[in-house]
Amino acid sequence: MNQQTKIIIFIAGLFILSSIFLFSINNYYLNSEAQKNWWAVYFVNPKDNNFNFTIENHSAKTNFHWEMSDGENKLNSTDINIAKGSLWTSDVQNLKTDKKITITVSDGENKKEIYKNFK
Amino acid sequence: MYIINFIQQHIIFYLAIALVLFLPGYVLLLAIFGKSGTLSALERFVVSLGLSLVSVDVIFFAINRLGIKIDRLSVFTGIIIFSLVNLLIFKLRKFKEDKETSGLFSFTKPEFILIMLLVFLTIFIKTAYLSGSILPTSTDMGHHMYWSNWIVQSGTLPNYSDVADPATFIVGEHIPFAAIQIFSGAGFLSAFPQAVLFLFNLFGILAVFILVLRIFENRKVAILSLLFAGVLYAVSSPQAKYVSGGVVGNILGNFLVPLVFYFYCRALAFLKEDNFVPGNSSKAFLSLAIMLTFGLFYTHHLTAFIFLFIFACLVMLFLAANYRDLEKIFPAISKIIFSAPVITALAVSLIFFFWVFTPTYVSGGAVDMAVGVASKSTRTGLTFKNLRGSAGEARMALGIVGIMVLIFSYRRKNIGYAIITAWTIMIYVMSSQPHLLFINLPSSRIGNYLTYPVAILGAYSFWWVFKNPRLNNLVRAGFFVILAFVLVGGLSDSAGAFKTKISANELSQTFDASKYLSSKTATADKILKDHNYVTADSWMKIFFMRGYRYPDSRGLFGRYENSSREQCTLLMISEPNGETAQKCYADSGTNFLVVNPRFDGGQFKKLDDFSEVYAGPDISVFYKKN
Repeated sequence: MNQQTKIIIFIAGLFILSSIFLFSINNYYLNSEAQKNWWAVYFVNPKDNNFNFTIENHSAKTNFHWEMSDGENKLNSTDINIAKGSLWTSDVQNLKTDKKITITVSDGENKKEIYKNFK
Repeated sequence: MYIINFIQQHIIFYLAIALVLFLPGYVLLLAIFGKSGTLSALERFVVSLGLSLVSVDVIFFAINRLGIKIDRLSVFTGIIIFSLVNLLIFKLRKFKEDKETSGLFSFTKPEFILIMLLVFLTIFIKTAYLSGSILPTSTDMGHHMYWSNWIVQSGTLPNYSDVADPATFIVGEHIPFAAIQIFSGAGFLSAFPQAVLFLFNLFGILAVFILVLRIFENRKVAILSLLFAGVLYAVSSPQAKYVSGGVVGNILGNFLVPLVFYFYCRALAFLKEDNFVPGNSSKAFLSLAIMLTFGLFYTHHLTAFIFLFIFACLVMLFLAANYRDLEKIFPAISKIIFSAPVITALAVSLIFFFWVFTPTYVSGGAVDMAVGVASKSTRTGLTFKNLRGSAGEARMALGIVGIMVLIFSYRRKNIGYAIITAWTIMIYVMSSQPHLLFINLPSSRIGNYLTYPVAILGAYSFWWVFKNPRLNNLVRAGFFVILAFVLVGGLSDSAGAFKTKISANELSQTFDASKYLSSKTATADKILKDHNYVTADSWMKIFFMRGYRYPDSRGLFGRYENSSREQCTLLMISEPNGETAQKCYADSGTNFLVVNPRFDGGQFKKLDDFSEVYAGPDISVFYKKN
């Protein structure tokens, strides 16, 4: 094998190693649960008057508490356990209302609210 | 199972790179030069990438023009037909043995080890930096990958009609990524775009290496150019930072420019001889130079624009330096210009350029906008201090020494000397004194192109000073001090590559919210997102693929200071209850807003016509019932 072939193989080999490393890093940080520490709550159907919602957990916290209220009355509430990397979707009844319906979710430390406004 | 999938995906990815970025160029070289020694193996390797880039562009244009859908079958068929035709020509032609490369690419053992070491350091430093910025967050890369994905999904080439200024994008920036994705299936959110850009960046440095070797015919200068262009300042713009930043046009342009010069240099190498008789391969080299020049026009307008100025300067410089021999030079050059291969290459290039697929910037009046009096303060020219910053302070000092040394030891008949001189002087003038040439372009963007000529000059001056027996030790000592600064400055720039820390937290929220919205909305829904505080927002459009301006964006605040710019995208987020914003909502039909609740959100919570439908720590989505 002559020098130039060795140089070409060396460059190609290093590039392949380098890009495999970059692909692995990208994949690890983008897709690994270990690299995420957040949770979110969102309505299953954002546009209609359905109040089902999903809690998506990518954090170390697994115990959640949620409440549904219309500003004056608590309409529903439950404690739930959601493992890291999992989703949980509620099954609540449709309501006919002209108020603001708020879903408040807490992990014991942080709170997040989503709401639909029918005022 | 995961390991098998991983290995399989990577094998397919590298086969796709070989098929798209090496095979077409390699077989084209076979058809033109056979297996003669006109080009060394290393040159074939480097040049194949550039020729493949242009050949694949041509294949895409042809498929598109024929009205055939761009997909795996059509592109594969195109590449195979192109390759078979070239292989047939190779089999049918008889090639003369050309041994002109003998010796130049035969490295001594220490030189060989040094090359390996410099290549290793170049790749190692850049990889270290890229590993810290490998996540898809860069705004420019997001825009470019949208268009590459658009080609993949639509099966046609874009005319960029929904971009405010269609001349912003050039199809050559998007075809290579689309082609590799078509064959490999690699995701645009994976490391694949950066890996491909990294390959072009690496080959840009190798193109400088073979160019320097051909110009100076000195292996030591070429090896030093690897040090100055590859290892030192390996991270700063326009190197690894441009790879991670997705500055696609600059990276591809910085690869093609030295390659184009390489071919012109080889085509006109015969002018170094006293008899001015063109070599066997001069016509072929000039044809390839023309092909690559047009490839550059299809790839990046700024680089092409700068190249034209450099080219004009080098022609004038070369003719002025050789005015006594013009009577011999013109007939000799005419012989190769007015030859069948060169005329054919020029004619085919012009036909493609004007009739098959015309770049958007030609019809979009971009040339008119690039010429004239500076319209912004960022276009009035860089100070010398700015230039030192962009090329690397110490390397710039070495470059200044280099240009003086080059002029002092100028070989007027060597077109390469004119290339290096014109390359340096023209970029310096264009970036620091643009008014002299009536250029109206961002000066800092032009200044970044100084990197390679300054690196070459640094390498040449280094070699010249230490090899020149007439220089006294005091001069050598002074030079050594500058060199020490170059090494320290160049390596400390790279030291930052090892300090980066990745966080995917905010990015994964943006992507999660994007997936949510793409599944819950339709084209009739209008989404407005914020570019100021939402991470990787430019990548959101890839989740929707509903147009370049979907979702619409609240741009950087400074851009709204220009009163002629529309204000709706600013006001609909900043003052949603204002009269103007309400009219904007009614006119645009905007009904979803994506903002960072740490900065925006409070203004929507106060209003009765908004609902918060998605809440995460760094992303909130509000819905407005219209």
